[in-house]
Amino acid sequence: MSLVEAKDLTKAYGGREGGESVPVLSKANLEIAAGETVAIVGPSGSGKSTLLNIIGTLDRADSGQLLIDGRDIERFSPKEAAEYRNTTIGFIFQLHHLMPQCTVLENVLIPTLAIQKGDRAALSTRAEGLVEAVGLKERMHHRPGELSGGERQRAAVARALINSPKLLLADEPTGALDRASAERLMALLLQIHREHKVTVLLVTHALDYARQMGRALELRDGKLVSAALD
Amino acid sequence: MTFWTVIRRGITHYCRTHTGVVLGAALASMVLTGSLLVGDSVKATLCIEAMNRVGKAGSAMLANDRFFRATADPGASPDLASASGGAPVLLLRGSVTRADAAARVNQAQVLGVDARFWKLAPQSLDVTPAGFVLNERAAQQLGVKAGDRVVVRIEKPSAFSRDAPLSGEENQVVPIAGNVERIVDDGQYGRFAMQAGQVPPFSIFVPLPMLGQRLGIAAKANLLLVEDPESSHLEVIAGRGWRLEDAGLQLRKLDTGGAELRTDRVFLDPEIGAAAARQPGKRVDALTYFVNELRSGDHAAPYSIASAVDPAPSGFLPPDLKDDEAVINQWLADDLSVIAGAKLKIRYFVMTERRQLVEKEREFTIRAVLPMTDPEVNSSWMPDFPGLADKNNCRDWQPGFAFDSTRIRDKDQKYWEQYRGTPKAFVTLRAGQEMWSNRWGNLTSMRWPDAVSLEELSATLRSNLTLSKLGFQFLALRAQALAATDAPVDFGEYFVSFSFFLLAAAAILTGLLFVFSLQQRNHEAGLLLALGLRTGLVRRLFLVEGAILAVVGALLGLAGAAVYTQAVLYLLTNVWSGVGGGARFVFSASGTSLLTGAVCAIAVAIAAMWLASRRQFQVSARELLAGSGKESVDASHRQRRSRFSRPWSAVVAVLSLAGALSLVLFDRSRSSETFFSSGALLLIAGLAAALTWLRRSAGSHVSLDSLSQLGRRNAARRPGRSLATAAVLASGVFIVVAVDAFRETPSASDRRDSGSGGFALVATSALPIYEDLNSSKARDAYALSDAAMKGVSFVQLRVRDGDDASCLNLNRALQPRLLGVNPADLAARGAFRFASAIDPASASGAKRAGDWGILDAPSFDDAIPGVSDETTLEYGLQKKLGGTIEYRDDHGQPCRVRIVAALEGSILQGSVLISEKRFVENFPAQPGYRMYLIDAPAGSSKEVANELSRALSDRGFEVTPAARRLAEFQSVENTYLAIFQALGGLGLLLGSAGLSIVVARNILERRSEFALLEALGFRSNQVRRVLYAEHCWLIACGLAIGAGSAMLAVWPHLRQRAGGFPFAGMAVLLAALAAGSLFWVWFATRVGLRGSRVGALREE
Repeated sequence: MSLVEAKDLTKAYGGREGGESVPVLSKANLEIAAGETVAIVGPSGSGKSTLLNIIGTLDRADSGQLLIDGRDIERFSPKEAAEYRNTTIGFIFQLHHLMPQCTVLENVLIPTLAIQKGDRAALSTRAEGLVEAVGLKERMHHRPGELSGGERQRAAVARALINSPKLLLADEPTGALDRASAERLMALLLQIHREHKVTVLLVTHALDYARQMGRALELRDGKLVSAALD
Repeated sequence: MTFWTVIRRGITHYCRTHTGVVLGAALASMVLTGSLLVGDSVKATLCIEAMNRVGKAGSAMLANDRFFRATADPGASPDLASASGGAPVLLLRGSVTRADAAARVNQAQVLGVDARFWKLAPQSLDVTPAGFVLNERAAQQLGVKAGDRVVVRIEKPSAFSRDAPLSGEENQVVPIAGNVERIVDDGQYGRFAMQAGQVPPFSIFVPLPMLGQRLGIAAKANLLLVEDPESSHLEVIAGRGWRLEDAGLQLRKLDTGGAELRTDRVFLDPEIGAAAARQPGKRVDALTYFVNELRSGDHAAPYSIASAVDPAPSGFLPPDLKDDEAVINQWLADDLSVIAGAKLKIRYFVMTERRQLVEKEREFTIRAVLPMTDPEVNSSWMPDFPGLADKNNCRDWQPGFAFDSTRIRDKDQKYWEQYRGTPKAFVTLRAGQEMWSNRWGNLTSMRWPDAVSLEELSATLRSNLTLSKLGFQFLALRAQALAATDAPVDFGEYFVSFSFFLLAAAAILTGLLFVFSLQQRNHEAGLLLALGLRTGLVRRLFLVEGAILAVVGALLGLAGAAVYTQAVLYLLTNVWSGVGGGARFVFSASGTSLLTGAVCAIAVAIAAMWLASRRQFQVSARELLAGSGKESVDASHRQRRSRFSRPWSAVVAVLSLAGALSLVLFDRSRSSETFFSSGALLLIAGLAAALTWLRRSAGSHVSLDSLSQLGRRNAARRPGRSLATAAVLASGVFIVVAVDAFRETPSASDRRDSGSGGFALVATSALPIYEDLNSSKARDAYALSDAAMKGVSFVQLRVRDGDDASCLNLNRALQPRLLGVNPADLAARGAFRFASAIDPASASGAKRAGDWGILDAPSFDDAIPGVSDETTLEYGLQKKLGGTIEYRDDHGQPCRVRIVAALEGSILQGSVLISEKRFVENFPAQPGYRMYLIDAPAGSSKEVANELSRALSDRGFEVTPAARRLAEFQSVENTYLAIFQALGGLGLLLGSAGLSIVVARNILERRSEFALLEALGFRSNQVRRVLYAEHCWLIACGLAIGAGSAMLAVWPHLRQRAGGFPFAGMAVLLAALAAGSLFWVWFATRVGLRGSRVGALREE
């Protein structure tokens, strides 16, 4: 069974006040099986992030159908969408978006605040484990301002995993990192994929990193096609 | 990790960013709580003053013009003071001078007191003073200390009104000299007074025995104070214990048999007559009068006693004696050489208004001649006329009018020696009452010829009379004092009202700063949403953080509130010290006010943050994450709302403007509610119009031809932010401009329609003046210089003391001072200007034009028509036209005064005017005149004032230029206005601060934009010009909306102001406000655009 199943997704920007609309997705189709790692590549403005945002319910498609884990997320109420983001999805952004006032551990725990009930102690232990897993054990109680760019992004990865998501959405996570940090982050993502059996959907410009995924798709003229990475 | 951890971390991490929000909330809390504390403090001050004023006295019996028994001798027969265990007081008016005459107090309260009085003082005196005691105010005015010598001058009290005919010697002023033994402060009864007032009276306390003895009323008092707060208890005790002599009544056995009731007040009050008439048995009523002449033909007997007696029961007059018939005694028959059947002319004086004596005569036919041996031909008919009865030589008579002693013949003196006041002529009671009845009574004695015991008569009288009917007043002194502290102007509410716009400014600023903080943290909000936290939860998270900041701010504001209150109290204290008082305001803070202020400030701040942050959370997580403090929020919001909100803001503008204009044009009440409502509506209209314009500008595609146009378009980029800035500025400008327009400036006081009524001087006298000061007779009597008095005329007013209802008294005026005036005197001069009037005879209060004739008009429901100053009516009395005030007249009957017209701000502030005719009918015990409005030729008012002060010093005559009196009232109002203007100034400061914050914020947010301009070759000053253009537009908008709204809201007031519209002053004020605001823009721009911004491009 596919974890992600998108059919004829269409999305355009503009055109509300008589201006010309700019199509981003034109009947795009996508199918991702559970446990798969997929890279999406394409030039700037091709709609990679838009697709990721639609899958992550941060944006809505103009038309088409999108099933995640068999559920039509386009029909979600805001409450269902929030719950979906919190429990099914893990986001990693190009910028880490850590809360500067919170420590690394606290940042990792922030998604758990959306959970009404839960064993806080267990969550805390899990968060510590994740922080350790991303190599930030020594930095657990540091604030983002005291971390390097790579460390911040690894903290963001740990945060994305705290609620054991089925799907990890990574929107150019290496975009703001130097090469060494970027490679280390990619290694971490793959390690997480292996250890947590989490499906990874990576949006990237870097073909090297796309190649590390199980398969790569290119967004061209609003449609997803197999990418030629050679 | 919990929500509280996130909140706590947010507060500590962004503490610098939060400073503005905390300060905004602190300001709101300071203003709100401070305003309430001002109310608390004024109330506490009034309570302290009230308690100091009445001390331990709970209730009082005020005898007005009567004097009841009050002896300190425990062996004497029980009197009212001993029966009630109270303190008797002789409460009089007088003047006090220093022995060297270097200083004087014209209007002093003279109190005859003993140890019993001092025991009731708030802090009892350890030793009862045996000499004079002054209160602090009097001592300060006189510049005396303990041991110094002063002279107090008091009018010798008369048993009955000096206005009455035959009231005896005039103007008997008794000087009493003595050393000041001590000076008492407020806690030692220095503030004692029967009326509530902000300013304590000038008081001199004289030992009761000494004062009574010197005034010829030893062991008597006219005020009784008791501790029991229930005045009904005192009324019961006094009702049981009073004797006829306490009411000035005497019962005596007659030599001819039977008993007689008479009074030392000469005329028996109608109530007494009615009560005595209940005694069963034959009764002879009599009215005896001092006539000028008894004449028949060429023969005349001067100055004689004549009696009017009910002939049927008299037993000595023909029972069928007709009203045109007289019976004379043999002595007169011989003197006039007449016998029965001859004509007899009786000439007599009748006292008309202002002690004007009019001689009248009536002709009778002599019916019979009574022999001198007739037992009824005796002197017992003559009452104890003051100035007559106690004289041995009739040439020494002082009957109270111009008496020509040269007309007294030797035989008249012999008659006096032999027969004293034996009537020479008798007429019927009806004829006598037609000639000699007056408002004090129509009988001088009532006789019961048959054997009646005095005890039985006394019992009849006492059972049918009450002290209240005799004009005694029983006052719940403490309750009334406390009731008076319920100030007509709730200062708390007033300050909150005037702080409303400042509060709004603080709230807007708080909201603005909170939104800035949120915008800075957009990515946080976006992240939380992206992580699956629901919008409501994320918003709550930020709002709880804001609420905590509001609580911190509110608590800080409480400390500021104390400072704010102290500053206002300092200013208020200065007001009253400026108008001659010694009022001291105490600081007081009630828990309720602190809590209310803090909670309201927190609520206002949270509401502002809630309103301001709504839009922040109406955008998606993606936009928040992408925008992170940029303009995505506004852009997104605009896109969604523009189609709806543009007409919405235009509709609000039009509706608000229509509402405001209808209030301004059609609501003639000119009340503060109208002002605030129309002002708020106009501000809303202006701001809504500005919002509409901003949104139109944002969507317009006008070409950019200049940097100014670029700036103006920038102002429309964030309409909400721009509007908030303009709103804060407009609120401050509104208050400053509106309050300035209300400021009273002394108008031309010689104009009859001005507040001075065109009078040059206004005067009051401690002791009444009975004569018409316009008459040459009175001027001669007081030795007023003809030269100085040339062209001087007086409008004389009778005074019934009451509460000062002017703005100088913060207490509630329960029974304001009443002034009796001849309306024709003011009408002839066209004095003062009526603000509004209603038809006195109309129950519904139909409007009519105001004029002085309204005082003589018949009134609805028997209420006396009254006129008051509009300030008195609205604030002092808190009544509207048609409202009534309850009084008790001097006959002990309730009477109501209905306010039927209001004068514009005038020197008559604080009192209620009724017609003199109705005054004397209802308050006959208030003698003479004690207030004067004086016309004097231009340039001579000082000379006139000096002459009057000199000649009438014994009467405690105090003259003040009318313009100064008016200015005193205006100075109080102006001080309030200055305080409120300071609040407006604070609002403006906030507006300016907000403006500079917005400028700084705009520079920060758009640094890359300015960097780009710089990279494109723009010079720094050109970049600054863009910013100036953008923010000058906001300043212009704020000034125009604030000033325009203010001027329209106060237009009804300005239109009727004597000085017209203060265009020049307003222009200067607006220029100053604009300059201040421009400075802040300049300052923020200079600081914000320092150095090069090209680096910001690299950050992009």
